[in-house]
Amino acid sequence: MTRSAPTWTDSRGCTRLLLPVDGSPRSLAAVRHAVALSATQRAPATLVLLNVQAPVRGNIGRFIAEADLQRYHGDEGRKALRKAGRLAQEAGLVHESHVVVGDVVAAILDAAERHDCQAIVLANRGHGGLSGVLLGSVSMRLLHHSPRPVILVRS
Amino acid sequence: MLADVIQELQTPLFWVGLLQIIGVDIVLSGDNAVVIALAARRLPQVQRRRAVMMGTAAAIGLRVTLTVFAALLLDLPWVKTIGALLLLWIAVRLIIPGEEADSDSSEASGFWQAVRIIMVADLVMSLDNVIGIAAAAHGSLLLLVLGLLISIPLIVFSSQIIMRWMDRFPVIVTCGGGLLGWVAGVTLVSDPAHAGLLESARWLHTVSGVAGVALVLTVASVLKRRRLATAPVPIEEGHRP
Repeated sequence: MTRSAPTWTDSRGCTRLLLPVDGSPRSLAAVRHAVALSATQRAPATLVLLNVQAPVRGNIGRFIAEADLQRYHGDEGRKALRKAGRLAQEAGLVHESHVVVGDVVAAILDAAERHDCQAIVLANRGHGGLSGVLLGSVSMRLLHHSPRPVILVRS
Repeated sequence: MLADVIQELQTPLFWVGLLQIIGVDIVLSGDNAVVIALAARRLPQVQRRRAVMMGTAAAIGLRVTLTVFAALLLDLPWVKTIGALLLLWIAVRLIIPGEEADSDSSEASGFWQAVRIIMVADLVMSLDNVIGIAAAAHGSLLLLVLGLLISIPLIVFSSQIIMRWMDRFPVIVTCGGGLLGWVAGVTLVSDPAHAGLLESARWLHTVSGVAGVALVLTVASVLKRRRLATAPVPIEEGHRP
Protein backbone atom coordinates (compact mmCIF):
# COMPACT_ATOMS: atom_id res chain seq x y z
CA MET A 1 0.00 0.00 0.00
CA THR A 2 1.31 3.41 -0.87
CA ARG A 3 1.46 6.20 1.60
CA SER A 4 -1.65 8.33 1.38
CA ALA A 5 -1.46 12.02 0.63
CA PRO A 6 -1.23 14.38 3.60
CA THR A 7 -4.62 15.14 5.02
CA TRP A 8 -6.11 17.15 7.83
CA THR A 9 -8.88 14.66 8.53
CA ASP A 10 -9.09 11.02 9.52
CA SER A 11 -11.19 8.40 7.70
CA ARG A 12 -14.38 9.85 9.18
CA GLY A 13 -13.63 13.39 8.10
CA CYS A 14 -12.68 14.41 11.59
CA THR A 15 -9.52 16.26 12.59
CA ARG A 16 -7.73 14.88 15.62
CA LEU A 17 -5.21 17.19 17.27
CA LEU A 18 -2.67 15.89 19.75
CA LEU A 19 -2.11 18.27 22.64
CA PRO A 20 0.79 17.51 24.98
CA VAL A 21 -0.20 19.23 28.21
CA ASP A 22 1.92 19.57 31.34
CA GLY A 23 -0.60 21.74 33.16
CA SER A 24 1.46 24.92 32.81
CA PRO A 25 -0.25 28.17 31.70
CA ARG A 26 1.73 27.92 28.47
CA SER A 27 0.38 24.49 27.68
CA LEU A 28 -3.16 25.75 28.34
CA ALA A 29 -2.57 28.60 25.91
CA ALA A 30 -1.81 25.93 23.31
CA VAL A 31 -5.14 24.25 24.13
CA ARG A 32 -6.96 27.55 23.60
CA HIS A 33 -5.19 27.89 20.29
CA ALA A 34 -6.33 24.43 19.25
CA VAL A 35 -9.89 25.35 20.19
CA ALA A 36 -9.65 28.42 17.95
CA LEU A 37 -8.13 26.31 15.20
CA SER A 38 -10.99 23.84 15.46
CA ALA A 39 -13.49 26.64 14.82
CA THR A 40 -11.94 27.16 11.38
CA GLN A 41 -12.50 23.52 10.40
CA ARG A 42 -15.56 22.17 8.64
CA ALA A 43 -16.18 19.70 11.47
CA PRO A 44 -15.10 20.35 15.06
CA ALA A 45 -11.75 18.77 15.94
CA THR A 46 -11.24 16.10 18.57
CA LEU A 47 -8.64 17.16 21.15
CA VAL A 48 -6.38 14.32 22.24
CA LEU A 49 -4.90 15.52 25.52
CA LEU A 50 -1.67 13.83 26.54
CA ASN A 51 0.30 14.18 29.73
CA VAL A 52 3.76 12.61 29.77
CA GLN A 53 5.11 11.76 33.21
CA ALA A 54 8.86 11.54 33.65
CA PRO A 55 9.88 8.12 35.01
CA VAL A 56 10.91 8.29 38.66
CA ARG A 57 14.65 8.49 38.97
CA GLY A 58 17.40 6.79 40.87
CA ASN A 59 16.44 4.81 43.89
CA ILE A 60 12.71 5.41 43.90
CA GLY A 61 11.78 2.56 41.57
CA ARG A 62 13.74 0.13 43.72
CA PHE A 63 11.56 0.70 46.74
CA ILE A 64 8.13 1.70 45.52
CA ALA A 65 6.04 -1.03 43.88
CA GLU A 66 5.17 -0.75 40.20
CA ALA A 67 1.43 -0.54 40.94
CA ASP A 68 1.93 2.29 43.43
CA LEU A 69 4.08 4.20 40.95
CA GLN A 70 1.46 3.79 38.23
CA ARG A 71 -1.23 5.04 40.55
CA TYR A 72 0.95 8.01 41.44
CA HIS A 73 1.69 8.85 37.80
CA GLY A 74 -1.99 8.45 36.94
CA ASP A 75 -3.06 10.86 39.69
CA GLU A 76 -0.41 13.42 38.78
CA GLY A 77 -1.26 13.12 35.09
CA ARG A 78 -4.99 13.58 35.68
CA LYS A 79 -4.22 16.62 37.81
CA ALA A 80 -2.13 18.12 35.01
CA LEU A 81 -4.86 17.46 32.42
CA ARG A 82 -7.83 18.69 34.44
CA LYS A 83 -7.81 22.33 33.32
CA ALA A 84 -7.16 21.44 29.70
CA GLY A 85 -10.11 19.04 29.77
CA ARG A 86 -12.31 21.76 31.16
CA LEU A 87 -11.24 24.16 28.40
CA ALA A 88 -12.17 21.60 25.75
CA GLN A 89 -15.49 20.90 27.43
CA GLU A 90 -16.39 24.57 27.66
CA ALA A 91 -15.64 24.93 23.96
CA GLY A 92 -17.96 22.00 23.29
CA LEU A 93 -15.21 19.87 21.77
CA VAL A 94 -14.83 16.12 22.11
CA HIS A 95 -11.66 15.27 23.98
CA GLU A 96 -9.70 12.27 25.19
CA SER A 97 -7.26 12.20 28.10
CA HIS A 98 -4.14 10.04 28.10
CA VAL A 99 -1.35 9.70 30.63
CA VAL A 100 1.89 7.92 29.78
CA VAL A 101 5.27 7.49 31.45
CA GLY A 102 8.44 7.84 29.45
CA ASP A 103 10.70 10.14 27.49
CA VAL A 104 8.53 13.10 26.60
CA VAL A 105 9.38 13.33 22.89
CA ALA A 106 9.20 9.59 22.28
CA ALA A 107 5.86 9.50 24.09
CA ILE A 108 4.39 12.36 22.04
CA LEU A 109 5.47 10.79 18.73
CA ASP A 110 4.12 7.43 19.84
CA ALA A 111 0.78 8.90 20.92
CA ALA A 112 0.36 10.82 17.65
CA GLU A 113 0.74 7.54 15.78
CA ARG A 114 -1.33 5.41 18.13
CA HIS A 115 -4.25 7.82 18.40
CA ASP A 116 -4.32 8.68 14.71
CA CYS A 117 -3.70 12.41 15.12
CA GLN A 118 -3.23 14.65 12.10
CA ALA A 119 -1.15 17.31 13.86
CA ILE A 120 0.53 18.12 17.15
CA VAL A 121 -0.20 21.44 18.83
CA LEU A 122 2.03 22.50 21.70
CA ALA A 123 3.50 25.47 23.48
CA ASN A 124 6.95 26.40 22.22
CA ARG A 125 8.20 25.62 25.69
CA GLY A 126 6.51 24.21 28.74
CA HIS A 127 7.40 24.13 32.39
CA GLY A 128 11.06 23.51 31.69
CA GLY A 129 11.44 26.54 29.47
CA LEU A 130 14.01 29.18 30.22
CA SER A 131 12.51 32.54 29.49
CA GLY A 132 14.33 34.08 26.58
CA VAL A 133 14.81 30.78 24.82
CA LEU A 134 12.73 30.81 21.67
CA LEU A 135 12.36 27.05 21.28
CA GLY A 136 12.32 24.60 24.12
CA SER A 137 14.31 21.41 23.70
CA VAL A 138 11.14 19.33 23.50
CA SER A 139 9.67 21.32 20.61
CA MET A 140 13.07 21.32 18.94
CA ARG A 141 13.34 17.53 19.09
CA LEU A 142 9.72 17.11 18.01
CA LEU A 143 10.27 19.28 14.95
CA HIS A 144 13.19 17.07 14.03
CA HIS A 145 11.41 13.76 14.41
CA SER A 146 7.69 14.22 13.81
CA PRO A 147 6.33 13.05 10.46
CA ARG A 148 3.19 15.10 11.23
CA PRO A 149 2.88 18.87 11.21
CA VAL A 150 3.84 20.44 14.52
CA ILE A 151 2.09 23.66 15.43
CA LEU A 152 4.08 25.67 17.95
CA VAL A 153 2.13 28.19 19.98
CA ARG A 154 4.24 31.01 21.26
CA SER A 155 3.09 32.46 24.54
CA MET B 1 39.32 23.61 68.84
CA LEU B 2 37.53 26.85 67.90
CA ALA B 3 40.80 28.30 66.64
CA ASP B 4 41.19 25.27 64.40
CA VAL B 5 37.71 25.78 62.99
CA ILE B 6 38.33 29.48 62.34
CA GLN B 7 41.59 28.65 60.65
CA GLU B 8 39.90 26.05 58.50
CA LEU B 9 37.23 28.55 57.46
CA GLN B 10 39.95 30.68 55.92
CA THR B 11 41.24 28.05 53.53
CA PRO B 12 39.87 27.88 49.98
CA LEU B 13 39.92 24.09 50.36
CA PHE B 14 37.15 24.38 52.94
CA TRP B 15 34.88 26.44 50.72
CA VAL B 16 35.42 24.23 47.69
CA GLY B 17 34.63 21.24 49.91
CA LEU B 18 31.51 22.94 51.24
CA LEU B 19 30.20 23.67 47.72
CA GLN B 20 30.84 20.06 46.76
CA ILE B 21 29.00 18.84 49.83
CA ILE B 22 25.99 21.03 49.11
CA GLY B 23 25.94 19.63 45.57
CA VAL B 24 26.17 16.05 46.83
CA ASP B 25 23.41 16.66 49.35
CA ILE B 26 21.10 18.15 46.74
CA VAL B 27 21.41 15.28 44.29
CA LEU B 28 21.49 12.48 46.88
CA SER B 29 18.85 13.64 49.37
CA GLY B 30 15.84 14.51 47.24
CA ASP B 31 14.86 10.95 46.39
CA ASN B 32 14.74 9.95 50.05
CA ALA B 33 11.94 12.44 50.70
CA VAL B 34 10.10 11.27 47.60
CA VAL B 35 10.23 7.60 48.60
CA ILE B 36 8.82 8.50 52.00
CA ALA B 37 6.02 10.52 50.41
CA LEU B 38 5.19 7.84 47.83
CA ALA B 39 5.22 4.94 50.30
CA ALA B 40 2.82 6.79 52.59
CA ARG B 41 0.65 8.15 49.83
CA ARG B 42 -2.32 5.80 50.10
CA LEU B 43 -2.63 5.81 53.88
CA PRO B 44 -5.39 7.77 55.55
CA GLN B 45 -4.24 11.26 56.48
CA VAL B 46 -3.44 10.69 60.18
CA GLN B 47 -1.48 7.51 59.48
CA ARG B 48 0.22 9.13 56.55
CA ARG B 49 1.53 11.97 58.66
CA ARG B 50 2.74 9.48 61.26
CA ALA B 51 4.50 7.34 58.64
CA VAL B 52 6.17 10.39 57.08
CA MET B 53 7.34 11.60 60.49
CA MET B 54 8.69 8.18 61.47
CA GLY B 55 10.38 7.78 58.12
CA THR B 56 11.97 11.21 58.28
CA ALA B 57 13.16 10.70 61.86
CA ALA B 58 14.64 7.32 60.90
CA ALA B 59 16.40 8.83 57.89
CA ILE B 60 17.97 11.50 60.07
CA GLY B 61 18.94 9.02 62.79
CA LEU B 62 20.52 6.68 60.25
CA ARG B 63 22.47 9.53 58.72
CA VAL B 64 23.85 10.63 62.09
CA THR B 65 24.87 7.05 62.94
CA LEU B 66 26.42 6.39 59.55
CA THR B 67 28.25 9.71 59.62
CA VAL B 68 29.84 8.82 62.97
CA PHE B 69 30.93 5.48 61.50
CA ALA B 70 32.31 7.21 58.45
CA ALA B 71 34.31 9.62 60.60
CA LEU B 72 35.78 6.70 62.58
CA LEU B 73 36.54 4.46 59.59
CA LEU B 74 37.75 6.92 57.01
CA ASP B 75 41.42 6.89 57.97
CA LEU B 76 41.75 3.12 57.82
CA PRO B 77 43.51 1.81 54.73
CA TRP B 78 41.30 0.66 51.82
CA VAL B 79 38.13 2.24 53.21
CA LYS B 80 38.45 5.21 50.86
CA THR B 81 39.12 2.94 47.91
CA ILE B 82 35.99 0.92 48.56
CA GLY B 83 33.99 4.10 49.20
CA ALA B 84 35.25 5.64 45.95
CA LEU B 85 34.23 2.59 43.92
CA LEU B 86 30.77 2.59 45.53
CA LEU B 87 30.50 6.30 44.82
CA LEU B 88 31.24 5.76 41.12
CA TRP B 89 28.34 3.32 40.97
CA ILE B 90 26.06 5.71 42.90
CA ALA B 91 26.95 8.45 40.41
CA VAL B 92 26.08 6.29 37.40
CA ARG B 93 22.78 5.25 38.96
CA LEU B 94 21.98 8.90 39.60
CA ILE B 95 22.20 9.76 35.90
CA ILE B 96 20.44 6.81 34.29
CA PRO B 97 16.63 6.87 34.51
CA GLY B 98 15.05 4.75 37.24
CA GLU B 99 14.43 1.04 36.92
CA GLU B 100 10.69 1.16 37.18
CA ALA B 101 9.98 -2.03 35.31
CA ASP B 102 11.78 -4.60 37.43
CA SER B 103 10.76 -3.40 40.84
CA ASP B 104 9.76 -6.35 42.99
CA SER B 105 8.83 -4.40 46.09
CA SER B 106 5.39 -4.93 47.54
CA GLU B 107 2.61 -2.39 47.42
CA ALA B 108 2.42 -0.02 50.35
CA SER B 109 -1.12 -0.86 51.36
CA GLY B 110 -0.92 -0.77 55.16
CA PHE B 111 0.75 1.41 57.74
CA TRP B 112 3.45 -1.04 58.80
CA GLN B 113 4.14 -2.04 55.24
CA ALA B 114 4.67 1.61 54.35
CA VAL B 115 6.95 2.04 57.36
CA ARG B 116 8.95 -1.05 56.41
CA ILE B 117 9.46 0.21 52.84
CA ILE B 118 10.49 3.61 54.17
CA MET B 119 13.01 2.13 56.64
CA VAL B 120 14.73 -0.06 54.05
CA ALA B 121 14.84 2.84 51.60
CA ASP B 122 16.15 5.17 54.31
CA LEU B 123 18.99 2.81 55.08
CA VAL B 124 20.12 2.42 51.47
CA MET B 125 19.75 6.07 50.58
CA SER B 126 21.38 7.35 53.77
CA LEU B 127 24.32 5.08 53.05
CA ASP B 128 24.64 6.58 49.54
CA ASN B 129 24.42 10.06 50.97
CA VAL B 130 26.94 9.54 53.76
CA ILE B 131 29.45 7.89 51.41
CA GLY B 132 29.18 10.92 49.13
CA ILE B 133 29.54 13.43 51.95
CA ALA B 134 32.36 11.60 53.68
CA ALA B 135 34.31 11.51 50.42
CA ALA B 136 33.68 15.18 49.65
CA ALA B 137 34.65 16.16 53.21
CA HIS B 138 38.23 14.95 52.47
CA GLY B 139 38.85 14.12 56.15
CA SER B 140 37.50 17.37 57.61
CA LEU B 141 35.22 16.67 60.56
CA LEU B 142 33.70 20.14 60.22
CA LEU B 143 32.68 19.48 56.62
CA LEU B 144 31.35 16.05 57.52
CA VAL B 145 29.06 17.52 60.17
CA LEU B 146 28.00 20.40 57.91
CA GLY B 147 27.14 17.91 55.18
CA LEU B 148 24.95 16.05 57.63
CA LEU B 149 23.25 19.24 58.82
CA ILE B 150 22.56 20.45 55.27
CA SER B 151 21.00 17.14 54.25
CA ILE B 152 18.42 17.19 57.06
CA PRO B 153 16.30 20.15 55.90
CA LEU B 154 16.53 18.73 52.37
CA ILE B 155 14.85 15.51 53.54
CA VAL B 156 12.33 17.23 55.76
CA PHE B 157 11.17 20.07 53.54
CA SER B 158 12.22 19.54 49.94
CA SER B 159 9.83 16.66 49.18
CA GLN B 160 9.28 16.64 45.43
CA ILE B 161 10.70 20.01 44.53
CA ILE B 162 14.25 18.82 43.91
CA MET B 163 13.05 15.84 41.90
CA ARG B 164 10.89 18.07 39.74
CA TRP B 165 13.82 20.36 39.06
CA MET B 166 15.90 17.37 38.10
CA ASP B 167 13.23 16.26 35.61
CA ARG B 168 12.95 19.71 34.09
CA PHE B 169 16.63 20.54 34.05
CA PRO B 170 18.47 17.27 33.41
CA VAL B 171 21.73 19.24 33.45
CA ILE B 172 21.50 19.25 37.28
CA VAL B 173 21.65 15.46 37.23
CA THR B 174 24.55 15.37 34.80
CA CYS B 175 26.50 17.92 36.86
CA GLY B 176 25.67 16.02 40.05
CA GLY B 177 26.89 12.75 38.54
CA GLY B 178 30.05 14.47 37.31
CA LEU B 179 30.64 15.96 40.75
CA LEU B 180 30.31 12.53 42.38
CA GLY B 181 32.70 11.12 39.78
CA TRP B 182 35.26 13.82 40.58
CA VAL B 183 34.92 13.27 44.33
CA ALA B 184 35.27 9.51 43.84
CA GLY B 185 38.40 9.91 41.74
CA VAL B 186 40.05 12.27 44.21
CA THR B 187 39.11 10.05 47.16
CA LEU B 188 40.51 6.97 45.47
CA VAL B 189 44.07 8.31 45.28
CA SER B 190 43.97 9.79 48.79
CA ASP B 191 43.52 6.38 50.42
CA PRO B 192 46.25 5.89 53.04
CA ALA B 193 46.77 2.41 51.59
CA HIS B 194 48.50 3.98 48.61
CA ALA B 195 49.90 7.03 50.39
CA GLY B 196 53.22 6.97 48.58
CA LEU B 197 51.41 7.32 45.27
CA LEU B 198 50.08 10.83 45.80
CA GLU B 199 53.29 11.99 47.44
CA SER B 200 55.32 11.05 44.41
CA ALA B 201 52.96 12.66 41.92
CA ARG B 202 50.64 15.49 42.99
CA TRP B 203 49.10 15.65 39.54
CA LEU B 204 47.50 12.26 40.14
CA HIS B 205 44.93 14.04 42.25
CA THR B 206 43.58 15.99 39.27
CA VAL B 207 44.00 13.19 36.76
CA SER B 208 42.12 10.73 38.94
CA GLY B 209 39.32 13.25 39.50
CA VAL B 210 38.94 13.94 35.78
CA ALA B 211 39.06 10.20 35.07
CA GLY B 212 36.25 9.73 37.59
CA VAL B 213 34.09 12.33 35.84
CA ALA B 214 34.81 10.83 32.40
CA LEU B 215 34.10 7.28 33.57
CA VAL B 216 30.76 8.19 35.17
CA LEU B 217 29.51 10.25 32.23
CA THR B 218 30.54 7.65 29.63
CA VAL B 219 29.08 4.64 31.42
CA ALA B 220 25.90 6.55 32.25
CA SER B 221 25.36 7.74 28.69
CA VAL B 222 25.78 4.22 27.31
CA LEU B 223 23.35 2.74 29.83
CA LYS B 224 20.95 5.65 29.38
CA ARG B 225 20.72 5.16 25.64
CA ARG B 226 19.81 1.55 26.19
CA ARG B 227 17.12 2.52 28.71
CA LEU B 228 15.55 5.20 26.54
CA ALA B 229 14.99 2.68 23.79
CA THR B 230 12.16 1.20 25.84
CA ALA B 231 8.70 2.31 24.72
CA PRO B 232 6.57 4.75 26.70
CA VAL B 233 4.20 3.05 29.11
CA PRO B 234 0.53 4.05 28.93
CA ILE B 235 -0.93 4.53 32.39
CA GLU B 236 -4.47 4.96 31.30
CA GLU B 237 -6.42 5.34 28.12
CA GLY B 238 -9.21 7.48 29.44
CA HIS B 239 -11.70 8.24 26.73
CA ARG B 240 -14.30 10.82 27.51
CA PRO B 241 -16.84 11.58 24.81
